[in-house]
Amino acid sequence: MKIPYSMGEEPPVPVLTLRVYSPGGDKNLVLTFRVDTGFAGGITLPYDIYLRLGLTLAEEPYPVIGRFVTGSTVKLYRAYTKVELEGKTVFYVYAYSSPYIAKKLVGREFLNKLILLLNGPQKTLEILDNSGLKKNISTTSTS
Amino acid sequence: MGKKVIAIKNVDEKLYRRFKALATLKGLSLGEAFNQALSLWINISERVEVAECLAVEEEARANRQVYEELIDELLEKHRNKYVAIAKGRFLGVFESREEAFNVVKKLKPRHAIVTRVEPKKLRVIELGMSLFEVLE
Repeated sequence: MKIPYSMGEEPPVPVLTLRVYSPGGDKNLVLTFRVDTGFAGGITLPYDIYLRLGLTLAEEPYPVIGRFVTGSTVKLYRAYTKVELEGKTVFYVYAYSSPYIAKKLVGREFLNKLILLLNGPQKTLEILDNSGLKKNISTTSTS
Repeated sequence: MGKKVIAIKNVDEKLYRRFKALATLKGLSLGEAFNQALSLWINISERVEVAECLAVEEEARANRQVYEELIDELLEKHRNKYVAIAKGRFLGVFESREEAFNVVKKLKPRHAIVTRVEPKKLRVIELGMSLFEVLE
């Protein structure tokens, strides 16, 4: 599957479209995430979306500390939730958020489950092989 | 961009000192740091209902306090099970996250803790460069 880069900014940026579920699975939103291998977590969500999906209802007890490259830090809340790729492959990842986070990012905790090709000249992100994910459920550590 | 000199009353002295120290550390003038702070504040206020955020945070504090009080006992007796805490109350020990969440749902809280009973480490995660924007 090939996903075109977002051309909304210069230079164009690789993105992934994911369906993110509420903890109870009764609500979901299809959102486009910027691929960011520098982000160690699963996904970041703007706080209004985090609230809308009811992710505050299944939070971990302690916030984590998010550290920017400048060394400054921000408190991040996180909740474990279901994310769907291409309408069929289901993952469970942590969604991180804070009122200070405005962008939707997909980071290494999620990207490391996939074989991806960033085709810069064609400006497409290609998901090369999902055969290892055929069982459809993949879980990450919950620590 | 227009620049303006302003005087502000009732600034919290402690906050101001920390702000000034951080601005110096980051190599910013006070004006530059203040402009960044204003932009950030406006940005957040426009996106998120502040009253809702505060209400969530108030419930979160009560829930975290309950978790703190119980964690030693939970680790001793219920390691690797799931717990739910909402509205400042411990709701029980469960076999799965789903079971725990189903009990939370009935209370209609603004915030709840649903987590596996295990030792939790303070976790620091790197945030990517994408959260920064280059302004030209």
